[in-house]
Amino acid sequence: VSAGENRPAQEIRLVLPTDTQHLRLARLVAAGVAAPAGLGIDDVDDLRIGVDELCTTLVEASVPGALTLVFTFDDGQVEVRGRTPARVPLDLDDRRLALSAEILAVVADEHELAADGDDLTFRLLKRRVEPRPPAAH
Amino acid sequence: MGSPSHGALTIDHDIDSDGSVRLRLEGELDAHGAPELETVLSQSVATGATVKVDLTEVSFVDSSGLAALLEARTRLAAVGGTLNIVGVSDAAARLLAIAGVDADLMDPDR
Repeated sequence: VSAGENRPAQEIRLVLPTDTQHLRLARLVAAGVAAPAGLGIDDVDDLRIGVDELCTTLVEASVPGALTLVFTFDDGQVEVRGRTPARVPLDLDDRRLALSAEILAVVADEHELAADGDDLTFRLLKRRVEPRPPAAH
Repeated sequence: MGSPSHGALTIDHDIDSDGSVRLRLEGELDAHGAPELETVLSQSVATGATVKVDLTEVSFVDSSGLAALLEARTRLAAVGGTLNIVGVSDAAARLLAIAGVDADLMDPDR
């Protein structure tokens, strides 16, 4: 794990074997970067869930190798990008994928899965929910 | 709601006095733990059992865990069995609701 030095945006890069036993570590790092980004408790949970869902899809689609995650965060938001070499053809569990899409639609502000050459990639963005301003009288 | 347990998934297996199978899960039900749940549930499917799943001690659930439960529920229904969730942690309840499967999986008499 390496951390960048440029503020306000900071970056943490995590490289994991493409094995489901390491999903927990991805969730832990997601929670770790959410706090300095100022996300609230519910947003942290959402980010952990979203990262887990997208990493699960990449691991399910991957050939044995590495899952690379880049967490970029500043005040108010966290962006996570993931990449892994993918199997051809992709043979994903449709039932799980449909559930995952339902979940991601709720927990992520933005997300996308995409093929890039032989790799499968994702991008997820989670923004802090700003408190509502006081009602005008 | 109980206090969920963090860490790798463990599954306790009991037979209730009414003959139904009660599975008490503890830890994280993600893509790493789901295959173990699938293995345990497949044994119940083979006997057409009534299965009660307790997620009170589960600290994390994702689509892999939900898919395992829904798949077993479908296969059990085909052989005259049932599967219902009889207890949930806050984390599990939220995931069930977000995925829109709480009405399908939760025991209506809970």
